[in-house]
Amino acid sequence: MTLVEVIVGVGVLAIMTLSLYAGFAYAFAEIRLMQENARATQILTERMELVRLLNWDQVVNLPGYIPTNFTAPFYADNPTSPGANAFLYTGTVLVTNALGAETYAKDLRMIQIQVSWLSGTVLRQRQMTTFVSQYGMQKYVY
Amino acid sequence: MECRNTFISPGGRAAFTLVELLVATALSLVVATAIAMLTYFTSRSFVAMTHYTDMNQLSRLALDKMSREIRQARQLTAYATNSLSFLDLDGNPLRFTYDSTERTLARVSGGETTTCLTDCDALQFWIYQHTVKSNTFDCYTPGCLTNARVIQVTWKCSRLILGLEATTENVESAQIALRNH
Repeated sequence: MTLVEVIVGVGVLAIMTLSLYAGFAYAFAEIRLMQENARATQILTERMELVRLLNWDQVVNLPGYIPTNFTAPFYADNPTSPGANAFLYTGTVLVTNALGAETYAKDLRMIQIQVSWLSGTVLRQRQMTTFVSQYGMQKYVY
Repeated sequence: MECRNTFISPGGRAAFTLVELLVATALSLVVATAIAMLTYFTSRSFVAMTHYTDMNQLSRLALDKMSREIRQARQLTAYATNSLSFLDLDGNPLRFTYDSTERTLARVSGGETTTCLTDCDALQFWIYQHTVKSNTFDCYTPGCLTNARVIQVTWKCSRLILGLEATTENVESAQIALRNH
């Protein structure tokens, strides 16, 4: 073999190895993101479930009854002693008028819950939105 | 008597020297070891990914089924951190029980026991009232079972990877409100 052949061979091998490891790194990062997304969805769903327990007064006439900010741990099973990769999701809750000029707008509110977290160096956000109405609220609690 | 050298001849074929052979063997060993390690860790990673996906799917399925039945239940009749008993939509007993020995979550209804979840390392239930505390997303602890309207459940599933200690884990957590009141 000539020196050129050896250099070309080593170069091809290096490219293949780097590609392989880049593929692995990407796959693991995607799985990690999938776990973070799944946990974010759990947090949003839990908060939405509790929103259903609120009555109209608590949503509209008692400012501050619904928290505007909250935090939730990544590790749901052991939040007091989290693992090395643990972090907190930070959440915001927005209660706002859903519609503009409709006649029933005063009886309707939009609740938007959003969580954000730092995934590596990327800030990620997920949100869920629901509508509550004064006369359409669930009656199973009150 | 004529003495001739039979091993070395000027026109003989070229061959490896001992040093070349040793170097080639060592290099082959290094490459073979690298390939073996790569294969091992790749297999492990694929198994871990498969486990994670599978467990996530099974956990979500179990949670969906359990959530639907709890939401429709008439009331909670018995509570322990590893067991919940309800009267279901039709007024029949319905129970969810976690067995830490078998690592399973079982659903018992109408005398029939079905396994909702396997490979479950830990599971815990909590119960709360429907009243949400001001400026939090927490609910009050109920004084009695009839006031329990919110169920919190958290579980963790895991599987061994290729029979080794390293595991793939999946954690599920949910709050479910009884709506059928």
